[in-house]
Amino acid sequence: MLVPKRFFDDSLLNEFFSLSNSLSKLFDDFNEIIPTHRTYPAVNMYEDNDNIYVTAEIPGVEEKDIKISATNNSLTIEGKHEQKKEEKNASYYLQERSYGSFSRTISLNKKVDINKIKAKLKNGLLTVTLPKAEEEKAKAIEVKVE
Amino acid sequence: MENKDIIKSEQKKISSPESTKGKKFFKPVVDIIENANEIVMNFEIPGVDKNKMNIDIEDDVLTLTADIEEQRPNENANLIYREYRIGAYKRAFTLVDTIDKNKITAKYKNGILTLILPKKEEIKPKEIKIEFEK
Repeated sequence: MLVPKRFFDDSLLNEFFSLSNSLSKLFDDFNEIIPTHRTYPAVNMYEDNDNIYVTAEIPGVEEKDIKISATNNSLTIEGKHEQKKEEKNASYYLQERSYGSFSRTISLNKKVDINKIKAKLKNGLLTVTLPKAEEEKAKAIEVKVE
Repeated sequence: MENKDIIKSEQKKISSPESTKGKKFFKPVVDIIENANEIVMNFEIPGVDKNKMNIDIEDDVLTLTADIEEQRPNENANLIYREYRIGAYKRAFTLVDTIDKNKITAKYKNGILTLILPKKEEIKPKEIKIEFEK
């Protein structure tokens, strides 16, 4: 009978089982939250009366490799995440971290005073403090009751 | 599973008391590197306080947990935009017999936790001199 041999090939069956394995693995992973951001770094923003704060998780990036610039309504975070020389040629069992350079510009909803911007890096968490421009600050105005 | 010799398999089900709360955990990404004397694991766990980190080894299973509190830049600051979430980290690996469990060391820098797992003396590559018969 002319039945193509490959239909009964073991490798096809193996492929099927490996597919079913990876599918069940996929469902296993649902109880874990895996960060899947396409833009890097992901940022959160906070605001109080005087400042806007931008925070970003950039583990493994050194202070000297970060460049922060701003206009009065946007903030740019640039940096590079370099692999150590000894790690480049090492044998990896698992490589999930990514390396390379990044640049991200975030537009701000308020005007900021670009001369007073401050940044802090601690435990891989970057916090940029952007003081609001005077005209943006909420002011309490005393109203006289006649 | 090419790496099964070293890290047998990653534990999918973790049976520790914390898990029964149904709390969700972030699974930190990791790079695992092997060299002649040790296995090095570099986990990305940004924003964690050093003493909120825990590394447990029980029955060949190494479990890393890290608790984290959302740190507002200022007490009165309100969150106005969110792209990333903040929460506890957890990940577990089964260790093989070739690792000397008593000599595992850890350090935390720039949001990267590095675990160094030294191999047992007897399995480290050794140079053996062989005399050729003449």
